[in-house]
Amino acid sequence: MSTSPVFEWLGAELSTHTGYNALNSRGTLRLALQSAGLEPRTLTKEQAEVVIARVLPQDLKLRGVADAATVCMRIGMALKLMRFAQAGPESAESAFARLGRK
Amino acid sequence: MSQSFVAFIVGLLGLHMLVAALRHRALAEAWIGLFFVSSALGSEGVFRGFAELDPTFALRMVSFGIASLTVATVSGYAFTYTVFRRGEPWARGLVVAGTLLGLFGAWYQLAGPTGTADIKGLCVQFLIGRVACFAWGTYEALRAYAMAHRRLALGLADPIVVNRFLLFGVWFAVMGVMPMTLALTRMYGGVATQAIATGVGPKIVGTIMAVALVLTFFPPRKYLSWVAASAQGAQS
Repeated sequence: MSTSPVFEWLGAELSTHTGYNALNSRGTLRLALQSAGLEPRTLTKEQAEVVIARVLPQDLKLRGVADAATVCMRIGMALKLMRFAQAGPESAESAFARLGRK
Repeated sequence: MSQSFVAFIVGLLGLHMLVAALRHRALAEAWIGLFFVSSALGSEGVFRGFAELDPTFALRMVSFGIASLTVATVSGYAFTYTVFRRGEPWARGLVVAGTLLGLFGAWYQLAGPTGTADIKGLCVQFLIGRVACFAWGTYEALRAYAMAHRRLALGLADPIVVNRFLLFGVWFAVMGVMPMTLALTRMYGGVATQAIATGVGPKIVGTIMAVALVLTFFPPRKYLSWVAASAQGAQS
């Protein structure tokens, strides 16, 4: 399954800050996204910011990462400076938003 | 609510979606528009054909209806793929498999191994591809609903769109259950029982569908306010 550039970047960044290998960091990230109701293939920068601020700190803490909050803060700050190519296919939510009146 | 009335409304909705597809240059609207138009034409064709006494005219109506319903089935698969699983190879495979199943079903209904068309009712072989299409679409919509519900708690989803996933899942499931009920009635109760079921089933299903369709595509302002307020209440 293809993943969005944001997911790829986040996985690499998580490896750098936690010492996880690529498989572990991507797995941790996938679980965090799943609990937030998000998908790796359509993850956007805005969604990632929320996950890093509100979901990931707790997940990393549970996995015994020291200073999980600081790690997430650093990743979050680095993410703000990043620019990404448009994430994969259009999300189901934006397609459904167009289907009816709002 | 009569079956023809529902078909008329569904057909109009399909045209509306096709216009929206042209305006937005969007595939999702194009597929669902084609799905609605061909479903409306197809259901009219088969139900009138099954009730027709003149065998030549009945055959024409049923052939037209089955062809239209096959187009609807393929559009249903394509819509589910485009909206929920675009770019995923296994889903592309499912669309191809579903299309082949749909074509096999149409052949079985209109010619089949005996070379004679079945103009008395829908056969199970025709419905397999169609029911699978509705089952897949319903699963994807309800899965999207469950995921969007979690995003809602993080402020990452629009409550109205989240509700729309649920509504879509409901009417898609109901639309899939109807032909299955008719086929099962025919299998176990014969053609006469199916004729009775044909008179009752579409009316019940049509009413549920019409309500869900209106709430999905043309929701009243009051309903939208209620959905938004409920989501807000659940979050706080």
